[in-house]
Amino acid sequence: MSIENIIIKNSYQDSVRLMRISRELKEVKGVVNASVMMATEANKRVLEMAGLLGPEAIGAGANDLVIAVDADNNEVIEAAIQTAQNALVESSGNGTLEVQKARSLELALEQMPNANMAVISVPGAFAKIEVGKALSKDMHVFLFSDNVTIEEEIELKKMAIDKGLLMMGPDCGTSIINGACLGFANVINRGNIGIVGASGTGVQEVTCQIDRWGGGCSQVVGVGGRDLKEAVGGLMFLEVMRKLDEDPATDVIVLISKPPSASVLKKVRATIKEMKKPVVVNLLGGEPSNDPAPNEYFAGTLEEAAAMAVALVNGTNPLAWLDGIAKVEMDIVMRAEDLAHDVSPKQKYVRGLFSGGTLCYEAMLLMQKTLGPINSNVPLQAEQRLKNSLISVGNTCVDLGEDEFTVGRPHPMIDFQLRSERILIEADQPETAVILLDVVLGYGSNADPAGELVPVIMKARSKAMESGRNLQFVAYVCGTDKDPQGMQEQIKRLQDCGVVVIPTNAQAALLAAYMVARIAKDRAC
Amino acid sequence: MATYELFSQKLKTVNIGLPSFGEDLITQEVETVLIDWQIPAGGNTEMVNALKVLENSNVEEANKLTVEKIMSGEPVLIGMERALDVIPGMGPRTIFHSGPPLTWERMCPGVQRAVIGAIIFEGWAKNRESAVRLVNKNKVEFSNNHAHSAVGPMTGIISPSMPVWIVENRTSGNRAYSTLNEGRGVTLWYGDFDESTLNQLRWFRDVFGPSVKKALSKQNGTINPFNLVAQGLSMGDEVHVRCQATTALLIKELVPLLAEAGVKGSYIAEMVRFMAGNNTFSLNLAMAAGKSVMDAAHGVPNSTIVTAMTRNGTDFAIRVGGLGDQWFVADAPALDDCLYYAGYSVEDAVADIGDSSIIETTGFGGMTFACAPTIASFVGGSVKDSIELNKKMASINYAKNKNFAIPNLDFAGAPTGLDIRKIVGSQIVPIIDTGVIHKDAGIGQIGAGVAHAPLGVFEQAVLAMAKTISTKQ
Repeated sequence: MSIENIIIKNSYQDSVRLMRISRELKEVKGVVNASVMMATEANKRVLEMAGLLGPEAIGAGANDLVIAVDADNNEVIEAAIQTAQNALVESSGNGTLEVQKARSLELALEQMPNANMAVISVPGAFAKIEVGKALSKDMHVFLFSDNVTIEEEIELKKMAIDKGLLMMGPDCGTSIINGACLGFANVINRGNIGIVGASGTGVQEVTCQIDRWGGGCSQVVGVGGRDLKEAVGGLMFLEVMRKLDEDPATDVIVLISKPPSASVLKKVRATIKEMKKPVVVNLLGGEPSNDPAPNEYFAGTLEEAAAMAVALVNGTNPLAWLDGIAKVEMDIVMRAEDLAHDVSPKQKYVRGLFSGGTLCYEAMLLMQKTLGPINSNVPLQAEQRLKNSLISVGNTCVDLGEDEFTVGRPHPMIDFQLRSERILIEADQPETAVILLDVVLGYGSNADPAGELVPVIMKARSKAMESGRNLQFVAYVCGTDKDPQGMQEQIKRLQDCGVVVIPTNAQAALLAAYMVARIAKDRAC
Repeated sequence: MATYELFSQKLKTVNIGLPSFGEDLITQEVETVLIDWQIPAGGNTEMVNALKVLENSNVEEANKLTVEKIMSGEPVLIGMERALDVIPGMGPRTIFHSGPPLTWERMCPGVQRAVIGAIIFEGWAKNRESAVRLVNKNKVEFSNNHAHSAVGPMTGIISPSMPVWIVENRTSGNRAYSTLNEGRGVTLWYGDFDESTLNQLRWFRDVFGPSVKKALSKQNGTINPFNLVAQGLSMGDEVHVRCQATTALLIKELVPLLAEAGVKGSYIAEMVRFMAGNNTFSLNLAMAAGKSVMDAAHGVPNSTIVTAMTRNGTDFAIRVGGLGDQWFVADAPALDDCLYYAGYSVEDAVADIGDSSIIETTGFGGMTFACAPTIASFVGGSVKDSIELNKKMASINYAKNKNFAIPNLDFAGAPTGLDIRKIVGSQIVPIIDTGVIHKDAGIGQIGAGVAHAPLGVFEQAVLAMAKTISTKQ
């Protein structure tokens, strides 16, 4: 054992850095004790107590650096002194604390201090904490999470409105803000139509139809399915209506919702009356107002809402579309005639398997006019509720995106397994004549829906064929060519395997209904 | 009513939850930060439910007000007097200590030694034995500094005849007090004393204190401690364990005042030499300034901002803006993350100690860690480490104080307003820069580094606040 002191004259180093170097020296194999210090009187006492003080250090002054090592042999001492000298010239880089992905909203804001939107999809039980933090940081919120209590929703929406912020959700699927898709949304042209929606796929359908008609959207704001319920009272829906009325980039406003409660509907209509801009109202299944405001335009379907909005921005007559649609309907009837042939005697029902809740809802509204009540897990009338959502009865439409199906698995717009299984089940039923599908493209959705569906449809058709049945598939592809999946590509692949692809949800539903009606009529003859 | 400003801004998103939503935004070339989200409060249901209660606009308003009070505080040095003459509640036989209230029996040996030293310094007893007898006969009254608008580093001992800095918060009119920093070696604040310690205390009492008093009596209010702090932060201090620059600035302010007041040249020389040789000399003044501001910010109903963090080697405690004078207490943590001098380890160390964590509470020290690259070794060694750590600290504070810029964070303001909600939610606790002292007599400082505040005190406070708010509703 020997002690070695090396003095570096007039070499001031900060004590804290030296403590770190001292620690490194102690880790050198064979070193009993070591310290690197400025040779102040106080430090010399420390060295003495540690048994590291040699004659060299005793003679050193406060501006001299001491490397003091106690080790088994000279080689170790040399190694330690070399380590110290290296450490003294090296940068102290290669720190141990790694730069992490932001672990919290606050840390994210340290990276991007002027973030203005929080997209939140944490489990609902924790959502309030994250939303509250975001709002208090003056961030707008897109809240995809569900299972947020209605009390929390009201509190958070009031907080947002007080602060002049958007609170989209809870359970908000779709928004397009400044042209960017949040959640499940399609890539559409920017334009001057502003949308407020309390329904996810309803909004997607309207935006895609606007794009198809050559229009575009300024802002598309979802508010979550519960906003127009009595308890929430349309808090955010009404606020966004007024904000869009003030938005210089918006010329026409479209409202999309399932029918709200009576008191909320009253507020919506009162708000429309206060607004300057034309407002197209689509309350799925709702009735037109007896006393519409001059700027209120009632649309019966989602595609009609889109067409009317585009007509309004183009300065053409929004009602002219009604003439066009009459011809379209005639075409659909003709198409149904063509398709409803070679059916086996037992085939008589349509089976709609939907991934979009609002698309399912609209399809039922339209089909029931031709086919009578439609059975469903989300029926229009309580009597039509399926006893077992897994077993279709008569004409049936199933919303596979309902909570009962999505516990523990992704939404059917992402994960096609559930629907693929159900297609095969329906195809096995001798009474199935038409299978009606929605295919939702855009951000958030499955990257290649056709790739998922085509093999299943081929299998279903060939199995039906083996049993002497001509099973028809009717599909609506909700999307645009600008979507990541590419609409035309998807349509072509579906058509290539015999699927009849129709350009709107409403028309697809009508076609399916007319086909089944036609079959029934043929049979009656 | 105008439309949302958002509609004319560039969208910048933070994605919390499913990564695919954030990735889709990046594909669309929207500037996006993805958060690696973790269940808040480690998934503790009781805490999560309490945090939900605390996430509301009343608390927001209260915190905003609290932080405004902190940021608008304007502490000025107005004098130096004997503790007995100015500190409310200081009696002729009273000794104050750091941390929350503490009985003699529960004081750690270092605090007990410092108490004995103070008793001998005051002349109440001649030696250690008689001093202890005095204590045992209840002839000495103990109280904690914080209860008397005062703060002291480490053992934090204040006895009646010690001279104290008097700082007045001009914004709210309240005052705060702190002793003179004794420097390194065998000292009361390090929990030990010998004859040299007592001599230095006498010199404080008879020379240093009266000289500063004289210097300030004509010109009080010209020294603004936060100005010194702000400059110090830009000169490599974080103003807790590293105060070299701030001390130099304070000397620069004091010397002309001393000279103008006619203080003897030999006294001035002696004083300057002492201050120049004491790298933490300015610490106590900054602490008193912080205390004057945090006391003024305390007491806003519903506020979840921490207004005091303090420890005494036995207990660690916090006080919260909206929770009155209640201390939330846990064991003082062991300093196992600190760097130790050769031959010492955490086993030798006194647990976390001192009122100096008022520095972090106010928004300096660990909250401005990146200001002092020389102490980066405390947290991993590289400057990058200290920057990341500083950002982490920012994430548990309510706001940023633009009066105090952090050069290494592109001049971002000092994180200010420790929020118990953010601490409990993220499980990130405040760090406190600290010296480490030996348990036994005769050794003094054995290391330095960072202490981590115990999460438990913040959890207690979150539950208490949630209860308070739920009861009101």
